[in-house]
Amino acid sequence: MHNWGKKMKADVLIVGGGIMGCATGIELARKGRSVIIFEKDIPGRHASGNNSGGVRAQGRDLREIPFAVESRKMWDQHVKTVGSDCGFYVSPRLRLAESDAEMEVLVKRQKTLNDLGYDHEVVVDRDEVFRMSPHVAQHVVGGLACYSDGLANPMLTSKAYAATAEREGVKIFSGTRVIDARATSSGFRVRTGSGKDYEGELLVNSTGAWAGRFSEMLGDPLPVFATAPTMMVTDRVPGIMNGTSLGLTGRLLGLMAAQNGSIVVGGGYRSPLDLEKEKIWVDPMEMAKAAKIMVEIVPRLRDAQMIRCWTAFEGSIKDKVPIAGASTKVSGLFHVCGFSAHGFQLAPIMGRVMSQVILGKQPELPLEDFRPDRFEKTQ
Amino acid sequence: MKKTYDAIVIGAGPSGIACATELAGKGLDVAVVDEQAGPGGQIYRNITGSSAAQQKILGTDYTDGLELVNAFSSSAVDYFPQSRVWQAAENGAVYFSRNGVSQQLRAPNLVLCTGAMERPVPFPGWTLPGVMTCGGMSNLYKDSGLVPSQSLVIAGSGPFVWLVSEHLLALDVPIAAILDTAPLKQVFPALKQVSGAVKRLDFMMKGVRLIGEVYLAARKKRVPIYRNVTELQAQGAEKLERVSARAGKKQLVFDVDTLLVSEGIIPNTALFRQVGCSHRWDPVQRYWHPEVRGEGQTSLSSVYIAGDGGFVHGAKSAEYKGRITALHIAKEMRRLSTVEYDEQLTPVRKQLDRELFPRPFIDALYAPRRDLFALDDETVVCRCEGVSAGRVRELVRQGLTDHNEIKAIIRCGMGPCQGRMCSAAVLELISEVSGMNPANTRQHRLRPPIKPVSLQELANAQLGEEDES
Repeated sequence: MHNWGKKMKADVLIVGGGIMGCATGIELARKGRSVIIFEKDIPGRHASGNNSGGVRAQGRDLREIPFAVESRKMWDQHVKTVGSDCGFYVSPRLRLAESDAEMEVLVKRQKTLNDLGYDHEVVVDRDEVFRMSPHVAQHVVGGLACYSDGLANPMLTSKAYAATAEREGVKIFSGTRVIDARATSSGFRVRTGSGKDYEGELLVNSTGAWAGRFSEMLGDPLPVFATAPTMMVTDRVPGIMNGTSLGLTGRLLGLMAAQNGSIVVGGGYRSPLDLEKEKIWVDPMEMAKAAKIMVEIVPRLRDAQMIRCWTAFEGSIKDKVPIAGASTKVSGLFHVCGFSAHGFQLAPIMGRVMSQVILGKQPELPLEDFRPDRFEKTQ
Repeated sequence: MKKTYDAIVIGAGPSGIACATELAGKGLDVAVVDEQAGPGGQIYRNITGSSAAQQKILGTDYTDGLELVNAFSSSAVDYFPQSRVWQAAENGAVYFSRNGVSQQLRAPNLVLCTGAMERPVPFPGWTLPGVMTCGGMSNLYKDSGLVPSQSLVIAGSGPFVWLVSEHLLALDVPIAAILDTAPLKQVFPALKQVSGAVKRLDFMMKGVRLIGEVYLAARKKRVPIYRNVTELQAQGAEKLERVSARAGKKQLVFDVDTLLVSEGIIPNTALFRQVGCSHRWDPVQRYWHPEVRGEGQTSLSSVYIAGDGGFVHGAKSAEYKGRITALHIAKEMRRLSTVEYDEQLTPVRKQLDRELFPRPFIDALYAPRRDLFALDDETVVCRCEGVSAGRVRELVRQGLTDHNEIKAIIRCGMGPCQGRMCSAAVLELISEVSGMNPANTRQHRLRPPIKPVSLQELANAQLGEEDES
């Protein structure tokens, strides 16, 4: 037990109570470290609790694949590790080829993965496509299947991670905005909106969409910018998706087959936003684009209803892979951010690897590709 | 097709048509977008198509709308009936579906005249076919002149219960009973507000007369009226077969296949919540309503409110509010000088004030009673997703006090109605279990589209060609 009363000190201060911050906090607490998490709203308010729920290893950047494969195993262990199944279930993900040229892209992709020793993405022929998803349009020529992908409930997951962190002794300050953070002779000092100061030896930046601004405060500015991926959900159309989630090869679209028969639509549509005012405006034009493609890919969706759109602030980076690991400029500072709207699946493994780096150990998977200074090198 | 206007009015009820007519009269380019087939809103629904017999039953409260509707019809407004608005934006864009196509209009001024809706109150069996609202019944009659021929029960509290009872008695509909659920003791707190009410004795007498006439007609037809009714239940396997309730020590049972309920009228705030207006909690009537200033201004400079969507004050007030907002916009758009504005505003403001005198008394008298949301754990709260009161309580006990988060976990409010039916009840459950004042909770958010849009309609969208210059 830690005496939090007057101490206002911890081994590790984590800024950002999303799933990355909580996952990291849990692992550190389990290794006996005292941890404080500062969350300006409440855990799960932004991307962590409001993403599309895709637990997807398919289609990932090659640099992320070892992490995604390892993380997928951890999704099966959540009842044990965070006391909740997080609403996870398997919904195979099928990436469709709409032409022979696209089929070639998929064949190449599988070969690349096989050469690297991975077999989670498999080329399937037209018959298998129609077995998996009987209502896709006739022009589809084949696909690439990832049978182990699935979906989960983001809010439930975020809450389960936050509750587990607290059970493990992590102190989460919700509704507590960090207005200043700086390195000191003994580590870091963080000041909150109410003027209180906290001290810690080490500092973790898991501030998601706000990572650009936060890292600047510490003298290690990161090229993270805010985006607002937009999702929509249909009414229940049982029987149409057959439990298979769909993606495309040449166009933007992700259709996730929710267990209740509705379809969650994502795939990279974005809305205009104002990060300062924390406002996002859903752009119906973007939804219309998605709808056009949807009725082409699954014609029976013509009569389905769009019942809700939503968006959330995400931290994005131009090469679309995260920044994770030790700061190259400020000693004792660690970043885990910039997941560019596909961090949800990676959270379990990221928490574990980050805790290893933070504790000064060799990480089980190398974080070299996610270095914060990778853009500087290429200049 | 024309895409930009000086003002877009959403809703063609009394406030919307009064506002639009006034705006057009001042030379502004105005569009009115409304879901119904003809102007008039719920109160004056089908007024130009209704028969003399219908008009006689519905009385002057209904026929008073003719003048307003006629003025609107002969104005220079671009009118889009049968158009379902599903999103509006602070930048003045309005998205709606009409004839299977999604469209967009834009204006620097949006006037949201979304009107009122009946307060959805779950009770055991409320989702059974055969249970409908008094408003639903009233609309059916206005549209088609149809009323049930089988015996029915009317239950609830508020003026609407008496109004619908009066109409159905006059139409010789067989009524098994009228169950007044308003607690008699609410008269006492309401008396604090009586000073405003006595300024409008005519209005108050109209209410007293209405209830008196229902009593007389009911006695003549041997329809029992029970006061102080509690424990209302709709029972049946597949559809309503029986209504049970308690009046004092007396257990009541009626074998009927129709139950009409009404527990008061609340603002329809869906579009205000979607567009992002700030809201306030009204502790007497226990509903969220958009923050509104004297001329209908909201927290967003491009968005105005007129009518019951801001706060429920009735049809006459709605009409005056619509006029006042129109005058304000005309002044802002420099179609009226300040002098002209003051001249024209003063008489309307007086009329509105007169309408508002008795409202605090009525609101207190018909405030939702304390046990209105004292729901059994088994009672379904969210009918779209089948979530019970007990399940919501369970999550609140776990420490969740934000409907938005509870929704993301157990789906209450996640279905096609987006919480229109359950959010009041969920809020009361949050307040009941956590002890939080509803005013301090995070309001349930509504995401676009506020009404479902078919993918084909969306795919057919004509949203792109913007003619901004």
